[in-house]
Order: sequence, then C-alpha cells, then structure tokens
Amino acid sequence: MKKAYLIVIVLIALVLSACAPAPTPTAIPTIALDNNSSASSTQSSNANSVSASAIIVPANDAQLSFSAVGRVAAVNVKVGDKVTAGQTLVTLDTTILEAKVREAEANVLAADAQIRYLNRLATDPLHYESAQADLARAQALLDSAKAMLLAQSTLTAPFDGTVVSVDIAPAETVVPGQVVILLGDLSKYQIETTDLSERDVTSVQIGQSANIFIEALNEEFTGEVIDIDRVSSTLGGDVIYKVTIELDKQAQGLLWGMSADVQIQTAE
Amino acid sequence: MKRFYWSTLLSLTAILAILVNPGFAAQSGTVVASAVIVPAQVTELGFITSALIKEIIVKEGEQVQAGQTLAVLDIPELQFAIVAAEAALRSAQAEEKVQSYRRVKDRRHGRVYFDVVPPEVREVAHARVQQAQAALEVAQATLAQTTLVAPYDGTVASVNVVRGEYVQENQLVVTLATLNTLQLETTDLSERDITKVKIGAPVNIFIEALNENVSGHVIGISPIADMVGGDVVFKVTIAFDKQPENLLWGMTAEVTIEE
Repeated sequence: MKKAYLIVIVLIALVLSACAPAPTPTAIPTIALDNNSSASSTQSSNANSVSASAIIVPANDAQLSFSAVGRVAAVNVKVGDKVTAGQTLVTLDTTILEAKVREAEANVLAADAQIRYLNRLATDPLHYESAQADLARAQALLDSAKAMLLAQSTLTAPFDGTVVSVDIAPAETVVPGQVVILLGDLSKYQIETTDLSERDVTSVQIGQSANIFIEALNEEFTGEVIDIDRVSSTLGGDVIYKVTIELDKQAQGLLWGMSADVQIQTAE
Repeated sequence: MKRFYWSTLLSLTAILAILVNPGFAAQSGTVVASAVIVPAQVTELGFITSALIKEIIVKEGEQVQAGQTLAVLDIPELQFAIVAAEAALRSAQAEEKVQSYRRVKDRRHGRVYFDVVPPEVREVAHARVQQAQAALEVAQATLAQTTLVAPYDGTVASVNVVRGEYVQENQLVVTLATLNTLQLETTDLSERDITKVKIGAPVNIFIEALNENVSGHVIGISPIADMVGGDVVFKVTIAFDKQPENLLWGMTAEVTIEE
C-alpha cells in the first residue's frame, strides 16, 4: 500500500511541475533610465526604429448622409454588398417634392401661354417684357424644384467600394448629416498608427520602410510610410501623430479595424 | 489494486495533457463567443416635422399590421391648408369653364353675343387648374407626414413619447420589431478568431435562460471592427435553424462556431 501512495505522490508532483509556466528561467526586466521611447508601445523602440500600435483601415472610405430631412422609402443595399460609383444606395420618399415639381411645371405652362396670348394681341412692349420675366421666374422655380428632387431624394455611392455598415431601415427618418451608410474601398488596406508619440514622430519620414505584425493573421508584412499627420491628436493625455503606412503587398483576410504592431526603420 | 494504479495513472496523464495544451480541451478549430438575441428587423420610427403629439394609438407589446396608424401629430393648420387648396382648385376649375366662352353684351344695342376666346387664354386657365391640383397634392402629402404608420407587420417594442409631448424631427417615437424572427449577434468575438469564421458555418448555440442547446448557422460577418473595452471585436450574425419557444430579445447565449 505504501508503494501505491508513493506512486500517486510522484505523479502529482510531476503534474504540478508541468503546470509551472516556463521551464527556462526568465530574466527580471530591468528598468532602462535612458529610455526615450513611448512607454505605451508594446515593442520598445531603439535608436534605429520607432514602434507603435496601429489599426488596419481602407485606403478610401466615406460616411454618407442626406442633405435634407426625409423619410426613407427604400434601402437597396445590405452590409457586405459591393457597389459601383453612382449606384443608388438609399432613396427617400419624394411625394411632396414630386408634387412641387408638377406645380412648378403648371406655372411654366401658364406663363408660356400668357406670352403667346400677348403676342397675339400685339400688346405694348412693357406688358410683354413683364410676362417674359414671369416665364423666366417660373422656369427657374421649376429647375430648382427638379434639382431638389434629384439631389435630396437619393444617396449614391461616390466611389466603387463595399457597404460596411447600414444604419438606416425603410420608413425611418433621416436628418442632414446623419450617417446612414459607411462605405469603404476594401480592395486596398493601409495601416494607421494609433499611439505614435510626439517624441518619436520627429524621426519618422515619408518613404521609410516599416515592418508590420498583424496579430489576427499572426503574420509579418513590410510597408512604407506614405503620410504623417501635420496636426496632433491626443490619446489619454499623450500627444500623438497619425502615421500612415502602405502595405507592399495586400494580404488575404484583412478586415477594417484589426490591430497591428508597426516598427518603422528610421535609420538604415 | 493494480487496476486502481492504472486508472489513476491514465486519468492523471489526461489531466497533464490538457494542462500542457489547453487547445486540446477547447477542441481546436472552433470559435467560442458570447452572443445576444436580437430581432432580424428593427425600425426606429419618427416624424419629419416637429410638433406636439396629438395621439399615440398603440401600446408597447401590441401586434400591428402594415399600414396601421401608430401615432398622430397635432398640426391643425395643415388641415386648413387642404381646405384652402381645395377651394383654390374649385375656383380654378370654374375659371376654366368660364374661359371656354365669353359672353359680351353690346351696351349700345342691348344685344348679347358670344365672342371667340383666344386658345391661349384657355391654355392659361387650364394650366392654373393643373397648378391648383398639384398644390392640393403638396398639402395632402404634407398632412400625411403627420401620421406615423407601420411599414410592416410587427410588434411595438417601445413607445418613447406620450400624448401632448413635443417631438423634434427624427426623434424616436415608436420602435417596431419582428419579434417572431430572432437571430443572434456575437458581442466578444476577437480579431484573433474572426479569420476562422466563415459564412454558412454551423453553430452550436446554448441559451442560458432556457437551458437549451440549439443549432444555427453564420449568416453575416461585419466588415468593420468594434472596440469593446480596449479589445478589437467583430460582430458575427447567426440565424437559428429552428427558433426555440419562449425566446426573448436581449437574452444571452454562448455560441460555438465550427470552422
């Protein structure tokens, strides 16, 4: 029986040792006093490179909204749909605007007939001029009503892209500036840093190469700095500048908003 | 006794294997996430004009048919505008009739004769009728905007205003939803797992409130990430193969998405 206990104890000891995190001894991190990199970066920067966190964004995106108050008649697209430039995405109820166009059309007809009547009477030029001005006014109001109908009744795609979000349903109301559709050109992604500090931005220049590690894909990519913000933003009290990096090669499986770690080579 | 050693040894080795490789227990190739039950269709209805609420006709939880009136705004001047537009139309129509002939009385000889009216005058009169007709349509359409109607058959999920309250344009008045078609949306599916999720993948759903396991499949993957407490997550939409009974909007579930 004693042997049995012994074996069990040995096995438990074995299991416990397997639970221990890592077999190799790890060094206790030392605090670097002369560290000039931003503390929030996951990878520490050294003299030759700048590291920062970043997110994946499409090269081109647009938040679409209407310029007038209205009620939605139809939503022609859903999330994930590919659309082409000029395609109608959302239409508004145009009953009132259409009736206004018909009203303006009737006014033009009346003004036009009035001129022809005055022509027949061979009236004095002053009356005739006044009627012509009336016609011009009616025509302008008609053009205006038609333009309103055209501009305020539909939302069209400004470029070829993919519908990323639809924040509207038929029969709902819209107000000017309310974002109803988010459109992105998902054929081309780029990287934007989210925490590159003012201390590091001075060494970053357009054209520098960068290594990008995308966590979701567990893969490393290369890229090039194509833009550096001219105005800072703040992140929890830190002054940061957004640096945009173009990927040398587009990767499969990238999605808008995925996070990445970038390392920009500031000295070659 | 020997059998006891061997079974102990075997079970301990199994525990050991799981501890060393946690993925073994979670069945590699599946993605586990929390999800919430939502209606397939939710519509937040409001008005495009600002006014006082005259009447709220429906109550929360009520079933409504498409076209049924839900709420009405109080804008009396629009009703009068229609009366005025109708009168203007009748006047224009009468004027058109008058212009179709003209009776002229010769004062000197006391004779009455009919004069031929130039066609342009009749055209003008006709155009005035059309204009009055269109103006009436504008007034009618404007009045129609003070009534909120249900766009489809559904359930009134919430009523956000009371009678006599002032509503702004675009303010939420009534939320309508299709509560008989519910689906799931994940709330914490991380960017690390999203690459494994494919449209059409089978899903095992455990609904905590009902203590029930049901099946479903992935019908949508959001192309854009959300940030939840610093984590980058993607919303995945899952449809039930067969919707369980007693399911309510907002219940939580645990979903296991097969690769």
